[in-house]
Amino acid sequence: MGNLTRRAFLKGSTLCLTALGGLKLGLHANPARAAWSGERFLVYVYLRGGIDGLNLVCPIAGPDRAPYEQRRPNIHLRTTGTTAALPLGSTNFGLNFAATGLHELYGQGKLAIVHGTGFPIGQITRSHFDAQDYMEHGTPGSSSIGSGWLARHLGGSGQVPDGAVIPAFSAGSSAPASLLGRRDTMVLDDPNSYHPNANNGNVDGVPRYKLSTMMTMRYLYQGSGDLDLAGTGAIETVELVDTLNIANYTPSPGANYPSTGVAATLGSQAKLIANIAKRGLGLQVATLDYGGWDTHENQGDGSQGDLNQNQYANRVAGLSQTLHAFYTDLAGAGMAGRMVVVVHSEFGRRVRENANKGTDHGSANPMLVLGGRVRGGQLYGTFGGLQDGQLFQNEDVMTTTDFRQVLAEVATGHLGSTELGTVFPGYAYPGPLGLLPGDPIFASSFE
Amino acid sequence: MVLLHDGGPGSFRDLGNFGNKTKKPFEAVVSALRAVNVDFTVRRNDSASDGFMDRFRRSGHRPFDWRAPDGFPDHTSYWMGGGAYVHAWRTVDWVLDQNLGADQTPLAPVLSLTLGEFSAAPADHTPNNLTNFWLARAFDWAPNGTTGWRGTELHYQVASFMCRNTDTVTYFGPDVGIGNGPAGNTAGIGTDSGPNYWHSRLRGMVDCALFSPQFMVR
Repeated sequence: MGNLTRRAFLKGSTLCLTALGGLKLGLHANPARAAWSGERFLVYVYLRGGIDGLNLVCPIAGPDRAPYEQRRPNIHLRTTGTTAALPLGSTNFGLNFAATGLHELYGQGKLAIVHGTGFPIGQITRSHFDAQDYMEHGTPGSSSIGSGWLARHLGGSGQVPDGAVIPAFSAGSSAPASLLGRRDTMVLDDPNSYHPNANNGNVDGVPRYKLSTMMTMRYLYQGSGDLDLAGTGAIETVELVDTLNIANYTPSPGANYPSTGVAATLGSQAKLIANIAKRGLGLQVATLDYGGWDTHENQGDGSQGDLNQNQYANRVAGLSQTLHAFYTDLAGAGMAGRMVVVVHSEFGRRVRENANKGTDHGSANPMLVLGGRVRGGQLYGTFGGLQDGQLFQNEDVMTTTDFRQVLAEVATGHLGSTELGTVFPGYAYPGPLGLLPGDPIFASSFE
Repeated sequence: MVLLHDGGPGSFRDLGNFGNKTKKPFEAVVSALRAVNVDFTVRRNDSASDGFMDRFRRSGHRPFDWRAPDGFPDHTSYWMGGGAYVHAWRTVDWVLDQNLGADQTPLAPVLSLTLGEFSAAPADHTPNNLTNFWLARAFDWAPNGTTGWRGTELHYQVASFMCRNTDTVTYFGPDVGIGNGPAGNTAGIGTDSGPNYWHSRLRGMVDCALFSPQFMVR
């Protein structure tokens, strides 16, 4: 016993790359997915804290510009100078001056923006906890269902293809509520520490007893019972991260992920998702969180172009750079058409800035939808207006689009879901906004 | 399998179901803490607590993270995914390897429990002896009243870990006292320098016992 080299161990393990098709994180045996939907995947980016969407996408002209400036005397985005909002085509709206990456993607027709999304009017909440909970469970106003909307989507018939190694991936410290109920979600933020004996010191940069532990675990879980299979599956995820050399990854040329500042973690996590997506491991859904949007005070003067002095714009810049890098990375690998990124937050903020030059909890917000198949370069939905009588409770941007309509369109039009009744129970889907081209099935002669 | 009730045939108390109930991550971690006699209270604004919870929450079983009134799933299969296991094990490993405070007191008294069990004579500190002690302690039970866990596959594999050096091919004799000489074998179980890193290896051996399938069931 005992005298095994690393090479011999890996050779003897099931984790040869050629055998990855037989490896699963879980124990599901899913039917093969419909061929038409291919290997598309969704990245669900959640901006925790409630982003001030009105200063991400603001009116730069038209009837809403004057009330926007009036209600935000300090923090409103300018229309001239170095901090001028970036015009969105010929519309009356512009992007935050720090969102240059997003602006470029919008101009390329890859980024769509849906105005005025949120909860149905009767179910609006301004509580972070409640709003995130309802939103990620996909059940506004109801707490009776314990699973997340993404988990229910993945549980639908044929949604996870046979042989998928990592169908669900959460880049971060824990899986979000949207994936609650999906036990084979891989949660990973640091490939170097994803190991059951990672704290015992390193030798030559490798945990001292990494291989010894894995060898022992292999032997301990070598039976054929469910527990043995589960343990082996867990061991294989560790070996997978190691064998694929996930810690070492070179993005496509031009993909410049932030590596410093407030978005350094976001950048590394987005890069991790791109890394996983490119491996052909059956990725269907990935999640990414970016917090720090609860800007009650000193959000950032609209004329302040120094990002170190403008916390909101600084964060927007990080988000923008990350999404631009992610798109560039995937596009460079010919995968732009396979990805859709949805950017979401639990609520928007009040239209009026507060006495601390910040904004308090509001309701409606824009959602961003990015991808090679996305009909971008357009604004979708309806902006409720900022004039007297147009605000919700005289405070917030009015909700005009149920957030589930956007998610449902992505679920059906990109991921091929046919079970919206399960994904969003009780929701009467009014049909797509047109963010995505028609389903190829229906574009065929079957129409 | 679902074992929600505790009375009658098919229940948790039915001996026929022994081993059929899988520990959820929280249960696995807590029972590991008990096995190594860790006295640890999670507190707010405490770096050790943050370190613990930072790892534990990744298992998907953070307390109060699931909507009431159902609580977390009771189906065994739900918890048999890679993420739940690896992150539960990582949490246990973190606890076993942590040294806290200015004097770097081990959070888990693995070494002191070991030295308390055996005489100070290194001749007793053989991988087989150490493994037998820790398996009996982890499970609070042994299959044989005299020989303990010796002769079982579990003992063999865990003791093999203790014999195996880092990630190389060096192998230590299972019945050789650690630090008992001759030259080349003078570093005792409490030392943690190369080439053997005995203290780390001891902690890693206890890890293996606590990561075993026998420990992951109830």
